Amino acid sequence: MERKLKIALIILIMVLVIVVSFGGIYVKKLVSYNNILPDYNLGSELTGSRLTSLKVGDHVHEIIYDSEGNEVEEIPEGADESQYRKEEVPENSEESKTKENYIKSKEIMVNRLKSLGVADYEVRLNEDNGNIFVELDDGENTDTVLSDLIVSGKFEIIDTNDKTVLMTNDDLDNAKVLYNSATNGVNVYLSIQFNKEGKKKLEQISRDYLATSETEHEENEQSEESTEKTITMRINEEDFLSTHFDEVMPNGELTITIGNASTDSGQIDQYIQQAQYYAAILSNGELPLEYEVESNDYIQSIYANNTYLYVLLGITVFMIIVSIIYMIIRYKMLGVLSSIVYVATVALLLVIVRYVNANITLDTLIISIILIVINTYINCKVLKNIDKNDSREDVKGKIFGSYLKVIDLLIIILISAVVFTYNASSAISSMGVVLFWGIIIMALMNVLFTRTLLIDSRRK
Amino acid sequence: MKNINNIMKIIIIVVAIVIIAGIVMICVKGFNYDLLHSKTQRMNIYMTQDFDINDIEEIANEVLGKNNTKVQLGNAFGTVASIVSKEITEEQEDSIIEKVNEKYQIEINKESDVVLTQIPQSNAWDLIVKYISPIIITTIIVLAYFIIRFRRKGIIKCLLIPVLSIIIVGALYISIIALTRIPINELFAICGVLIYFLTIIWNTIILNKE
Repeated sequence: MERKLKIALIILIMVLVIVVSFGGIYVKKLVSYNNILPDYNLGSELTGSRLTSLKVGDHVHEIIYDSEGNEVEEIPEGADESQYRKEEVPENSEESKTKENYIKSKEIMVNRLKSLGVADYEVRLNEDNGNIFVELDDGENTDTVLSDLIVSGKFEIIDTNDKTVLMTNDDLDNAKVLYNSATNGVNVYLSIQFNKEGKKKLEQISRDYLATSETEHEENEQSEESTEKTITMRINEEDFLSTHFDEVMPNGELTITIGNASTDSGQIDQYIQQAQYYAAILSNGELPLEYEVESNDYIQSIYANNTYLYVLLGITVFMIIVSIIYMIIRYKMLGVLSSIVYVATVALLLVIVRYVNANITLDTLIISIILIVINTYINCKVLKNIDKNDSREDVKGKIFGSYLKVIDLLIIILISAVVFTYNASSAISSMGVVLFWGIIIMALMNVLFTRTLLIDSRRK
Repeated sequence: MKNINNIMKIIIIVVAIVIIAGIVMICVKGFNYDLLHSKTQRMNIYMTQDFDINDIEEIANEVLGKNNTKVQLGNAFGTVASIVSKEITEEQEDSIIEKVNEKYQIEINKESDVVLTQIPQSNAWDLIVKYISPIIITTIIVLAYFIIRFRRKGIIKCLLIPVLSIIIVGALYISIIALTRIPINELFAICGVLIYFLTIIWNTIILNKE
């Protein structure tokens, strides 16, 4: 009696799991009933993504020179215009429009995406005209990322007064973001590292532009003049900071504080983003060409309402049905009991997937096929060893033996799941998450329910 | 036993021929990319009123040909109709605009409401590159597990056969795709991952059985 009750109870739990997963849990909120289970999180492959077309800029810049041949921003009001000469210069010269520069531009953009932590992207290059097509997941930072892609990335350290160029991108090695917790909050730094040549230059510049102390100011007029000698760091052709050096910099590293020390996490995030932006720009060099956005639209995925998706879903469901039919025909009653837990395992995984925030993409659908194969293999492995005349103790022993034989497979898939989970790409990470939970749920459902049902199916 | 050896030899020869033929095909003709991954033109129409994407699809198919066209809905509010085709000539562009105007009784301005862009072809490597590092890491860890767990079976069974099977199955898959001219899209890499996992599972089962 107790045995039958146990079987009935397990079957009831399984049915409940299946109903909850496929039907949902509805709770009355104000006037309507709402499903309290979270929705599936569909990935960009199934919803849509941002498609941006970048073309090599064809604008013409107007440059104004004064009578002495110096470049000026504009003609001063009331000045004699005849004293100034205007010259039209294309933003990209014909000589710069080469295949090498097109390829270099694409590489820089790809590296910037990597540095900015964007893992899901596709960048295509038209080698004939240099146009670049970028496909990105559509999120709140997409516009910022896109604008970061096309900035020039030009880096210069110049003398503030006479505008002499002291250092350029050629002197840079890389840049990274550093943090430091102090009593007044977290400080965010941009650490710019220079190459061998840049290191020497930085040391020399830091000597030449060294600040003089206040006492020296009072005593020596000449030193007071040297204090005013400052450098200006320019990034993307805009002044980033003007400063002098407090000490000689012999180690080829320049650390700049971004913002002020803060305890506000939102503010810190903002500083980090800002520092990451500069690090990404400086680490990957200057774009050899200027690009402009030709089109930038969110476009729905072709899989959003497409036969491909239905075919893939159909294959998954078909595989489950075939597995279940095979188990029922081959192993009769034991097959039926295993099949009930099998369906409940799929149902429970579908519930868990909603809570662990895994993106449902084409990749995760493929992972479900792997899980179906493994689950069917495990079930068949267990059922195959059980004989009609086996006692409860025999069944227990045989199931244990079968589990030992599949444990290697589960460990190996679990290892793969963990590796995939920690990937930067959300699609690959979701594959790992679904695989991980799939294996865990499969193992637990088998040990807790399939095993119990199979043992209790025996009278003695 | 002799028969099995003969069958194995035939299988090895067939697999080798397919792989070599696949490599030759990739070198000579490359892969066959599907429309969204080929060199195409994308015509984005910024619609000034609500529209049914099926109507636009019908118009695009009529002007550009059904097998040569894909139509997608754009922007969060569905205000853009995006038509992709191998080539959209100026006449075809004008014809589509005219038909859309006629259908919805609107006046789409070609200069301000339509953007025609050239989309370069995808690169098969770009489609698979993000899967490379997790697969290499997984393979190294799995091989280490095989060596520790099944060390008694010898290095050939623990290391050489799994490595060779992963490489050969992968090469066979890529060659078949190249030879059969199946269009390459996102599923190319994803199916590759599926095949990789099935190879790992198969290797584990074989090692366990032995």
